Amino acid sequence: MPPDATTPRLSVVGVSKHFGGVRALTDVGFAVAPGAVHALLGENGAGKSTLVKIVTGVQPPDSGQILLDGQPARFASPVAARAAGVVAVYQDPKLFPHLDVAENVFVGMYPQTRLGLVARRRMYARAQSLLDTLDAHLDARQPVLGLSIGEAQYIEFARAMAAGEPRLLFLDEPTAALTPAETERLFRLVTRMKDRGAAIVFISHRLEDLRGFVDTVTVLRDGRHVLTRPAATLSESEIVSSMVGRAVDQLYATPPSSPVAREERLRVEGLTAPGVFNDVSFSVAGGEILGVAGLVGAGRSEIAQAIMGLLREPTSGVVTVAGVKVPRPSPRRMQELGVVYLPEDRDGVGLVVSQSIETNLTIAALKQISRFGLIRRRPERRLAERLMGELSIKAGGVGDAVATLSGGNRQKVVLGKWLATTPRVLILDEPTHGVDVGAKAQVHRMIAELAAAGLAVVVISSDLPEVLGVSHRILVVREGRIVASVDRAEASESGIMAAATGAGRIAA
Amino acid sequence: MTATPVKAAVLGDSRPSRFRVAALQNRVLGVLAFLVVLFVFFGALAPNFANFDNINTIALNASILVVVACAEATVVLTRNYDLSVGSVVALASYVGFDVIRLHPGAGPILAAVPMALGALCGAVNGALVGYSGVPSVIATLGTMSIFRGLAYVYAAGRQIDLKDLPDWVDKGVNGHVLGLAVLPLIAVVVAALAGFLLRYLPLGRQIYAVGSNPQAAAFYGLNAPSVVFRAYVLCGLLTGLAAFLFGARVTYVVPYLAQGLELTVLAAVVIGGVSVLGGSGNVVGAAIGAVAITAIDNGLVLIGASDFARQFMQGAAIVAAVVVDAFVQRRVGEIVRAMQRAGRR
Repeated sequence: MPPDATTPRLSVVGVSKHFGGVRALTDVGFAVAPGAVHALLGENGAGKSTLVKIVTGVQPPDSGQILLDGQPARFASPVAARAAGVVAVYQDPKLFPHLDVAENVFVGMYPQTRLGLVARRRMYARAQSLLDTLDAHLDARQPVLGLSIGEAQYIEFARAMAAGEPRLLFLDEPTAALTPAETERLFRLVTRMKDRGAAIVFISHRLEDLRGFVDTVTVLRDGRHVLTRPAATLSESEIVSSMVGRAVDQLYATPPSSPVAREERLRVEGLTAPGVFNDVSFSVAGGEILGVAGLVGAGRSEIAQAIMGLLREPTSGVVTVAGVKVPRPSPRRMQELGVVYLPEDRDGVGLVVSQSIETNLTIAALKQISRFGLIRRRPERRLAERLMGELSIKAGGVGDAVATLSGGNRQKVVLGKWLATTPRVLILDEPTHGVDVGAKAQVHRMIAELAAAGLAVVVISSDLPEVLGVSHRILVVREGRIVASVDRAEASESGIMAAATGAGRIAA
Repeated sequence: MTATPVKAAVLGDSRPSRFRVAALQNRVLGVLAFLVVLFVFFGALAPNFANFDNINTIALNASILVVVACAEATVVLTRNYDLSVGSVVALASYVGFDVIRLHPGAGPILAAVPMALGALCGAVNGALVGYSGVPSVIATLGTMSIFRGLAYVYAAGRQIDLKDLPDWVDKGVNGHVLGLAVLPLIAVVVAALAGFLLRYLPLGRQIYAVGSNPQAAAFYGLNAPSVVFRAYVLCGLLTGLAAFLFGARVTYVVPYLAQGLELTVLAAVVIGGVSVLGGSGNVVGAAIGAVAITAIDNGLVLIGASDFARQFMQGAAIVAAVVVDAFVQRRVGEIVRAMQRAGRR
């Protein structure tokens, strides 16, 4: 219970929910005070999202009660919840790509004329004023197709405020895809809403986000309530250990102090795609981990895509893989040369979730395990089992469907699929985006191990502590140019931030 | 190093205009341009193509297709299809005109009968697709046979002669108002009204939203099954109107009327820039697409192409339109992404 005597904005009382045989929530209860920021923490699968869905009327609870300002509240739909001032903003904005920004903001609750028609002019005016209040540099008439996740999130916010000032606002991993500058803007916005009396429930994996911003912390683990305490009384390590249920000494595995000098694996010279990035040159050696920092939209993913021949825009420059010049990179050619790129949207491109772990692990390496064009069962099984062991994928067996795996383990399957092709260069784009603390540390350890085994690894990440923690050397990309290249020993969070944002724009 | 020169260097002058995106997205202009090209092409090949009489013929022939194209577009916008429109025309016109024949004194109000029958057929389709979740191609392929079969059973080998119908039918549909043929006027009014309602009616916007992203629509409390259901009812209603117009245009109303209409209509809708992936396009485009299809057919006849060639051309037109659609969608995405990148800097 909150220390003050006022009625909590939200009380969750003994809420349980199960899906089939899986218990998502078991007898969860806690309270959220008005005018405060409340962090809801837990690993993937701890039940945070289920809880949000229950409160906002997406799903009904099996048992238990939700109280809003002391009154029992059970919303039949998210629309009913929104009408009562209870809204959620999700990390993956759910948008209508063909419609424009204003229509997305007002979907399902269009302002109407007396005749029951959509009042289009009023809709655009109100959408624009909401966007302006939010400091979003978006045009209400612009099509949503092609917005970045960060920009799309503004639409979600505008949507949350369209029905009036929210009373209870859930932010589900809102910073996962945001740049530091965008995150700061989000915090200012949230603070403003909080000052006007809203209760804000902030769901996040990024503990570093929460320092000095959160009033109260609630931790869930395996669908059960672990603790609710004032943030000031909790240390970061206490939070983490209550989340994972064991002490975590170290979030970031230390990479070997310096890479053993090995031959160069990937060299990029003067890579340019007009309007996207300009004159990009760098090289990575075997055993080296190269971090690529910068803001979302700085052009980092596009550089990786250009190297792989995936970028649609025409590109000039020279890409050399292990001494072999590649005049016109194509995904197929780069794969032959042993360069593997794991894009940010892994689920969309990486996995056939209805199929077994084995099928997914071996699909990129069928040549190795086939004879006369036919797949040989035993080598396939051996390869899958070896990878599953090396990556410590947690599952009953290689025959299990990928759909049954947790997010972190799915990630490992994607990685394993490419490791099966014995690559020489690995380019990882936001490898821990949306991954929980425990799995994150495992991914970092894996990156270090792969480099130690001789692979050249490029890690693109917006998570600064991550880049600093795993890399030997860090490139900073700003506005399509490499603006800094720093050794790990000389790198600091503030220095990289300054380079990424353009010194002076943000006090580092 | 300051940020400005970098910005200038990176952007160059390759920044695309909003106008280009708008032009690509709203493909009515493109369809119109296509129509102009068609007229120039056939006008050059067939001397009597571009004269007043022939254009009048095209307008008359296109009118009913325009109405059905508007109907079909409403459903295609929700990311579904209606393959039963041809059968609905047959059933609604046969049964509808039978009722009109039996009640000659009731007057033009009975034109509502085929429309109501069409709406009923649409409700069946909508219930199957919206509420039972049957994929629309399968569901409407089934009802295509069912409705046609019902028409045959009801007709039991008979046919309805235009001569047996009250005067208002022929006068109303094939007559003139202020010197203009009624049929094309009806088509224009239907297209304009349907376009207006899809843009300004909350249901219209929901039809677009459901087609654009069904999951998100459900999430934001749009009742997707109900939206799809109502889109089918609207489609059926307009198809019923087309059935009335169709029946009044032919000398005999028979249950095998409008065979294969669904393919022609789909061609019109797709050529008109309505994306088969839902959520994008509008009925005015579909209406112009219907005129284009009719003009192609008319032109082919005038230059003496065989029946087979005409069928070939129709199929080719659908495939070509879908390929263009895929290309345009991709291109719009690219331009918008480039714009975003430019805008962020």
